[in-house]
Amino acid sequence: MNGDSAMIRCPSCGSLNKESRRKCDNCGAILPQTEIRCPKCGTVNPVGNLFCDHCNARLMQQEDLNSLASRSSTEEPNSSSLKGISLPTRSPTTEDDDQEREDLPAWLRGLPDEEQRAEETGVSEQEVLENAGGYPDWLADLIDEDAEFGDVDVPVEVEVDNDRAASLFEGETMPEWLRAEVPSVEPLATEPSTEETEPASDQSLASKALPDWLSSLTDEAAGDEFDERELPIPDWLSEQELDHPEAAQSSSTPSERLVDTARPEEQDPALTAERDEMEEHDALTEEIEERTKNGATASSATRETAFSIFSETDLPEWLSDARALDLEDAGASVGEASGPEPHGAAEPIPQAQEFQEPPSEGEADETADAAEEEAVTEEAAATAEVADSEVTNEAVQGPSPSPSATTAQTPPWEGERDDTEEAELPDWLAGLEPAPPGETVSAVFTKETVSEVSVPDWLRDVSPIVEEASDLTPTAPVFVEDADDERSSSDTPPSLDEPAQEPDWLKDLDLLADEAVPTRPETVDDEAPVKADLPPWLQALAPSGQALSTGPEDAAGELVPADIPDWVRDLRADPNEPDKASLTRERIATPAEPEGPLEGLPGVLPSLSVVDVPSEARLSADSELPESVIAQAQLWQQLLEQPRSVERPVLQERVRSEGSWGIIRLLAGVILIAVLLAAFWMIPSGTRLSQVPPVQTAVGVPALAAGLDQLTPGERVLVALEINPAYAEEMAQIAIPLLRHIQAQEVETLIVSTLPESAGLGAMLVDQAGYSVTVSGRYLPGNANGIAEFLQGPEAQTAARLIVLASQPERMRWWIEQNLLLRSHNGNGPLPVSVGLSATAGPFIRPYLEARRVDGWVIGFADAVAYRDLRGDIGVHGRVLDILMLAHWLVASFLVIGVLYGLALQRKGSR
Amino acid sequence: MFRWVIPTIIAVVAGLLVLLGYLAPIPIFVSVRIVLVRWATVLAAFALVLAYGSILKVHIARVFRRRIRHRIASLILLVSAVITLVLVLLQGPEGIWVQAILSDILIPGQSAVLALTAVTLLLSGMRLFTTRRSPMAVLFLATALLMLLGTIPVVYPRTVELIVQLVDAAATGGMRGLLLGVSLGIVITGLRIILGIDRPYSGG
Amino acid sequence: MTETLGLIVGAVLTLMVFSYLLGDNVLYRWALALLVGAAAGYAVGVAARYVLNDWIVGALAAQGAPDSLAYAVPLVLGALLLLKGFPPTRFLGRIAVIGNSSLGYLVGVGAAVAVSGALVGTLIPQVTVTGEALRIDEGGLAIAQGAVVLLGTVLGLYYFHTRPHTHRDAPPSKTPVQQKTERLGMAFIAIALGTAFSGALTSALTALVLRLWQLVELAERLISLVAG
Repeated sequence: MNGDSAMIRCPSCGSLNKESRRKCDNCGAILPQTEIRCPKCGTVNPVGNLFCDHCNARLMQQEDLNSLASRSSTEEPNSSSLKGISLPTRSPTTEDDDQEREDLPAWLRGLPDEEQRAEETGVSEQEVLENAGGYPDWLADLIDEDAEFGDVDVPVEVEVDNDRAASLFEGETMPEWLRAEVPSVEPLATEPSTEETEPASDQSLASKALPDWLSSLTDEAAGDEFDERELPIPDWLSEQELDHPEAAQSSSTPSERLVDTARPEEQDPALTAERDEMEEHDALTEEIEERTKNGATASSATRETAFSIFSETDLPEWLSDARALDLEDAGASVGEASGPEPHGAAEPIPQAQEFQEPPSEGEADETADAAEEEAVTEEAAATAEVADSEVTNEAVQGPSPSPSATTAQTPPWEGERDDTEEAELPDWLAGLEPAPPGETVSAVFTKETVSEVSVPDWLRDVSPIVEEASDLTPTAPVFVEDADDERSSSDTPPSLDEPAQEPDWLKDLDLLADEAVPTRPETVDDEAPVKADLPPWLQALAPSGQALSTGPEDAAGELVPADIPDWVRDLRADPNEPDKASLTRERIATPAEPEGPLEGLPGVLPSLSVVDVPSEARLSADSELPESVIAQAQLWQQLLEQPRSVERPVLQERVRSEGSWGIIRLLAGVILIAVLLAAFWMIPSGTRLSQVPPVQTAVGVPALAAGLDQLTPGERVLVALEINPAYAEEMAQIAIPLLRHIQAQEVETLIVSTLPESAGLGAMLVDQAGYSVTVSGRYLPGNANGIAEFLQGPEAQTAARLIVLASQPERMRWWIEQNLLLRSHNGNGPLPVSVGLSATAGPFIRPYLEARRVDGWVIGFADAVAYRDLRGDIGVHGRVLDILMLAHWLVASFLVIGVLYGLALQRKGSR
Repeated sequence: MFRWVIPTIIAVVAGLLVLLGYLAPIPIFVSVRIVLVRWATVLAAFALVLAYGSILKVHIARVFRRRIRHRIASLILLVSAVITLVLVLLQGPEGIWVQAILSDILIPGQSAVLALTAVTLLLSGMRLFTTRRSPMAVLFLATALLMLLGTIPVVYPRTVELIVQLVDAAATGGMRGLLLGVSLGIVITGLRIILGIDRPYSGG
Repeated sequence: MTETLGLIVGAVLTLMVFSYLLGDNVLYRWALALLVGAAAGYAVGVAARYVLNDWIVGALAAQGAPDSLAYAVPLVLGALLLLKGFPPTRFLGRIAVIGNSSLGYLVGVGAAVAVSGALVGTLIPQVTVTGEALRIDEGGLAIAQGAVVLLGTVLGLYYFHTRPHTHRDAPPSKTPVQQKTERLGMAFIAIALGTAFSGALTSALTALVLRLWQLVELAERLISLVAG
């Protein structure tokens, strides 16, 4: 098996081909070359070399270079230029990015770039994420990966033990982020910057659902008292103390330290703006309360307050509809707007505070900023900027717990309001009835539950309006699903079905109650979501006499799809294009990278098609591969899979056979030589065993003799001596009697030859023939050209005969051809030709002999002996002829033995 | 230009003129043909000199290159080539030393090599039937055996004579077919060169 | 004496070549190197003498422009041809491309001579003779021989025309008659090659016998010399 012949796979049909092939044997596609052989010296050079490494010859012609250059200009400009490496590379160019973008699903492709988003919003994504605080790990853990895009999460019922939360920070400053979640906690007076906002914050926070960890915190803390000072300080906190020693010194408790470290010295402008919004929100709430006290209904008070905020033209849609209804009902004019404000900018939407895990080592520096960052809820997504970031966050991290559900759900602490200090809840919140325990609540807007005019767009966007709650079908983004399938179990964040994992720092505090953490109801996916109870304020906005509907309906009475922005709509997978979705799924559903920096990520790098075989590649029956190709490929596969230690019997057998035939060669040679030598001594000189068949000499030898006998003295005879030194001894047995015969005729002899050696050989033969006159000789260079040039000269024109003594058939042919060609043009006719040939050339010249273009011939030693015999000059040559005959018989015997050996092998193989 | 354009023009023009000189017996063409063919013989001698120079260059490089096998053989070749050339140039083919080289070195040596081929041919004939067993192989070997035994027979009955004659006739027919095929190939190849389709001289 | 010495040299050389029967060895290689070198030097020497004696001297002795031109042109072409032997890194090697003209001339003239010879000297006569193969007036054996020759010629030529030239060529579908005809042609070719094989073997055996005869004669001469 030829060890130096590697195999490469055709990129077109996948069949195996030898490395040296340029085209595929199966489909004819051009195979990638891995080496270039120099046309001059044969040295193998790596691909990419323009000149040979050995002889500096050009390997690639200019036109090849030009075509390569033109081809490369249309291809990746940054392809690998390494010599000898023919692997495809990825070019970090925009073209790759575009290609990557094209590989993405449609709904993800429409996601605007950072630059585009920054241009549109004026805020970079980094800033947005920073402002929004991103999603901390614990929140990401809480995110339900099984939830689908657009679906509405059912919030987890949590119970907040406000007393316990308040006791934790009794006499201390509760951090703002915690205060937002615990409405009963009074802000500390020591923090003037946040005191004013805290009461309002407390009230607004009452509408929030606490995360599990906090609920568990409150539950556990309800029964136990502990000294916070005895708790171990988390590392991140201790590091913060190092960074803020003054804060640490001023604080005596970890929570205080937490508070201090959570409050950076420098205020972020964005956070300041949000704090201002909070203050406005509080102010508005107070205004609504005042109006209510003054006798207005809650809804009217709310509306009027809203009208005072927005200008005529800046009213949000949902509020404008309400206003229109008010105008119809009350006929009262809308209050003066306090001033135009950006839509949504003063939206007093209570914002869920973002709870962050205690920063680990290395993140202490970011703790201050992280603590100040507040998550943007879907209610705050009414603003354009927030809506973008929210969708981004949702798209990347999954849907967050829907605040709409949160708003729809009765805060769990409602049931415990009796036990806690009476908190002033807004009317819209006061009107909410607590949800039955254990019953899932989902903010699903159906036609029956939502007013046709009162559902704002932003809310409608979050919760699509369906016919019935049961029609809500999950449509999670593809990548979420696939990410679930391929993410390892260790990396899978816990879903809402599992108990929420509390941060480590909280674990250390050992505040968990023994009560089981409420889990998500299991009936989310199977049963239809429960219709949400609209808050009173929402209900109040509905025009009187009209039932709430899910939203505006078209003329046909069917639901109108939510007014989702186009760019959001593009992000979704189109269910009407199953092929595309399936292709997308198939594309993305590639095996994750097993190792490296891309570990766990699927479909990042395309599979190499030139060298590697795709894992899905299979030879099917429809591939139309010939069986020989398949068999060859299988054989190569078997041979390549064999370990090196496996012996190769084929090669060994071949070596063994070569050795045996070498022995046979030696034996045959020795036997032949020995027998012949013995024959020289054993056969007496006078004995004649052999005979020359008369059929061999009946025509040729006598005709030659007769032709020479016709020569008259003075004529010129041309003797073409085309004898190779190897045949000199054999041809000498023919040439010497011929020369003697010519000499006997007393003719002028001109010896010519196209072989350089024959010039000297002619002199030797003439000397051995016993010529008494000088014989001239000429060398004719150029083979047939020389013959043609000589025969057209004057010396050949006057010659009487041409005698050709040739050891090789082609030289004999040249003489005969040129003789026929030239002499016919001269009008004299061709020269009569007599030939003397070696036994090798005889069979090849027989057609000319049969054509009677030659009168008289002597072929081989046997005819030479016959000619000698005819001339009466046999001498010792009869004995030599006998020995030659013996040699013939011996060789024939060996050939027969070889045939019998072959037959024996065949019979042995068949057995 | 000099790589293939001019050589092609020269080859085409010269070939056409010589061909016309052969096929069209017009005196001017015949004269031109005679001159062109004579010039070609001189060029053939120069080509032989060029081949000799190539042999010397290769073997000189082998002699002075390190870690090369059979350096002595290359040295022997160089020495014999140079000495023979000098002797022939000085004495001519009929010179004593040149004749001695021819009769004592070239002829015995090359005859011995030819004699060695007898054993090689014998071995190849013996292995033929072990490697390829086909009717054609049988026919080939049978013909060879018949001709070997019939060339120098001890006895030559009439039957054998007839068989040999028929086999000889068949061989003549087959060889004529070979000869016609070879001649046709020569004509086609020559015409391609004369018409400039093939350009074996434009390499390098 | 010199003749004996020559015979001894020849015998030694013969034995060095025959040592190949024992396997490839140094003696065999040296003998071959000697033979190749001597043959190359001999050939070039004879060619150089021809050019020197017949052309350069003739060119120098030429009188008149046409004769001078007739002598000078081939010498110049030959000199350009010699440029091809220089390595490409040298200056002369860089202009060696000019030598392609000499090569083109040589190839063009040689092709024309070969075409003419093959056409007039082989094709036409052989085709004519093939048609005259059936010599009816010469009797039965001659007719049989002629018929066999005619059949062999036609079928042999048919076989060379129809056989595939490359291993990748898909053999076209052939009728049974075509296949049998092709096999018959192959048979005639096999017989022709069989006779050629026997002829080559005969020449080789003749060389062997004659070489051995020379060795025997040398041995006898040496014995006689030693024996006095």
